Amino acid sequence: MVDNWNVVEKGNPFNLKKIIKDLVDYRDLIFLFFKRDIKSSYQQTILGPLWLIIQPVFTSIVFTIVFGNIAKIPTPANISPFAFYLLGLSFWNYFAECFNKISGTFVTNSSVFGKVYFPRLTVPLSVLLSGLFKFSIQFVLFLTVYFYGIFFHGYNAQINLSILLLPVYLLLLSLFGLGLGLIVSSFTTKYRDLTMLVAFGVQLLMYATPIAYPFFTISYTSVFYKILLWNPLTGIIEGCKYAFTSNGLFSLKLIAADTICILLILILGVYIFSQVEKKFMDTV
Amino acid sequence: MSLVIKAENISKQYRLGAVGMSNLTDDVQRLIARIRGKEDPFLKVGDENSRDKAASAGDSKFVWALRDINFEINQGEVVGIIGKNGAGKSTLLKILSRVTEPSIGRLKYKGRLASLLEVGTGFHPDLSGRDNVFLNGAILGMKKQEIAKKFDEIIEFSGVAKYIDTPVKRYSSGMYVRLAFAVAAHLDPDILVIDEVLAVGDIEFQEKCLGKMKDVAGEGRTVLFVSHNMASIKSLCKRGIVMQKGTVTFDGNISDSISNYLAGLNTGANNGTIETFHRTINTGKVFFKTVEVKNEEFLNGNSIYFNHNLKIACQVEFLTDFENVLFDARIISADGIEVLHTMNIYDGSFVNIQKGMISLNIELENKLQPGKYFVNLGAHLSDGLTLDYLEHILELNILNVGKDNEKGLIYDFKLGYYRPNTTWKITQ
Repeated sequence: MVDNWNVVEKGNPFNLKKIIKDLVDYRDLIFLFFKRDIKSSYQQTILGPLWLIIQPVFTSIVFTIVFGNIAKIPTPANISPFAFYLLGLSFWNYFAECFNKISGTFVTNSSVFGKVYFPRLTVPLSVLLSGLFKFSIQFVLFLTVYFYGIFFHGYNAQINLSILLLPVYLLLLSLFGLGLGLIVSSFTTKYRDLTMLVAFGVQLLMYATPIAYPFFTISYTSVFYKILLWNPLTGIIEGCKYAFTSNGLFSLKLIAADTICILLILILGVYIFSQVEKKFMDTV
Repeated sequence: MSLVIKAENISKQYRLGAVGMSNLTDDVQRLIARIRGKEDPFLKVGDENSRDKAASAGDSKFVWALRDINFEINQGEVVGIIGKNGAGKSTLLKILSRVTEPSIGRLKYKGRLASLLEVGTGFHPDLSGRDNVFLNGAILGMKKQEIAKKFDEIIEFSGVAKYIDTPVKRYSSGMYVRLAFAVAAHLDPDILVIDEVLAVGDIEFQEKCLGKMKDVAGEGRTVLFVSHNMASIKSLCKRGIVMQKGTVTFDGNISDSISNYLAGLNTGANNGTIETFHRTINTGKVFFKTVEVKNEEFLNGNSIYFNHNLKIACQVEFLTDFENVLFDARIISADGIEVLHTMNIYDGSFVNIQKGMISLNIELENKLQPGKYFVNLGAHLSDGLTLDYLEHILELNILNVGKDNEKGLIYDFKLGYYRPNTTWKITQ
């Protein structure tokens, strides 16, 4: 036998190539986790996956009432406010779901992680997949409302070429949710304080992202404008909105900056996660 | 034969107490040490692994669950790891199965390693048996294709074919365990690490599992097996590693290892001086001073091989002279049933004893079924007056393995308390 020892010792060096190779070896597991999540989510519910539609519909109705009718924040004229909110929400929900679930990776899976070794990253990756599944249902809902508005209510929203960037936007949202989630889940193994923070932090983050209002309703002299630009989600979400309404902020420069920021967070996340996964059983 | 596992000075330190603010200060100190390029300051402290509070001299908040474990295992060896609860077996297994990392030292292995620290890891109650087989198999490291290929075999082995599309939460616990073990049994690793998973299911299924594990071992695979079940260890393993307080105390062939382990068990608090609080009835004139149980080879020990005679030795002090004294001994099962009663007058007669110390030896033919028993001892007078009576003064642990019984007995059975010598004549 050749001298190919596998070594288990304290603080193995960070080896991205090996991490990726392990994940490829365990790709079946990622899909099986994904299947498990989907199958088990709606067991013993009568409405089943319909709940995926009900949640954004009601949130959009609330937004329409609160932001549209009470606060009177204008939405683009070429799309119904309801469709406008649904558009932002479907992308936001995808990010929030990934981030939330991945944040709990270690704590919720500790019983399995404590018994068997497998690449721990399989779990967060499967969360991205099931998030994508839920997103696609909500996205179809949006498209239905969107085209209904165009054909039956005379809204003249225009799709433009930047729609080709949609997969990139989704990928960026995934990677950002993954990166942030990995960092949080790594810290929560020992100190649970972050769990509390994430719970309402995600809520706050939504208001710091142009979901319930168009970016251009914010005066560019305000501090909030600057905060929005620092938020990597702003460029992406506005890009999504621009693709369907030809209305909003579309800046490749901003998206490029967001991409760099997201990749840095992702690498940091994977690094911390890989360091924690070997000893979290002792502290979780 | 080639080396497939090598443990080099594996040590594992744990921190006692709950996670809180003091952890944060420790972490900060560690970080500072790391930045300055120094060693982790906490690895220099720590007590040996002992649950006995009085015995551990230090009161450090760190404890060494494992300390300097070294061993080498060749390909195809089947090794049993034995030791008392808290000896560090599970911690070692966790390191072997890569669930956690050692604090110092390292483990090296070659090939594919699979570990079974429990059966049914990752089973989801809402999913059907079929889905769970795939999920569990993949968690244990199998490819989907591999599982699909072995699927029929797995189902057949488990014997739950009829319910395979029912969610496993509807399964009886036996069915659940059968299915889970069936998946594990069809793993195909080079090295298999197993922890006590045999202690599940009914006897029939346990035997099936043991048989399957023997097959696995026979195929030239390396197996590491941890169990408290001496019978299955003995029948499965060729080599044993005995652990005590986080260190390896013995490493050799399996029979010697088991003897070594049992000898270690035999230093229980049961043997030795009797304190006042042990006495149920006492007249103040007669005192049992010391009591010990010995097996046939006159080793001290509460653990006795099945079908292996035992001896109870006592020192009794008489403060005055007594006439017509009788002694009795009772053996009580762990569930409180008086199984045996014996008195010196059954074989002889009342004795007269003069003031002073006497030694009392009881030799007993041991036909007890495996399990835990207690011994009551008493000294009485012929008119029924009890001079001294001790309840549960000794604990007997009848092992489920005989001294010369190489193939081992069926484990953990509860077929009555006593197995007399019998002769069966069957005619037609």
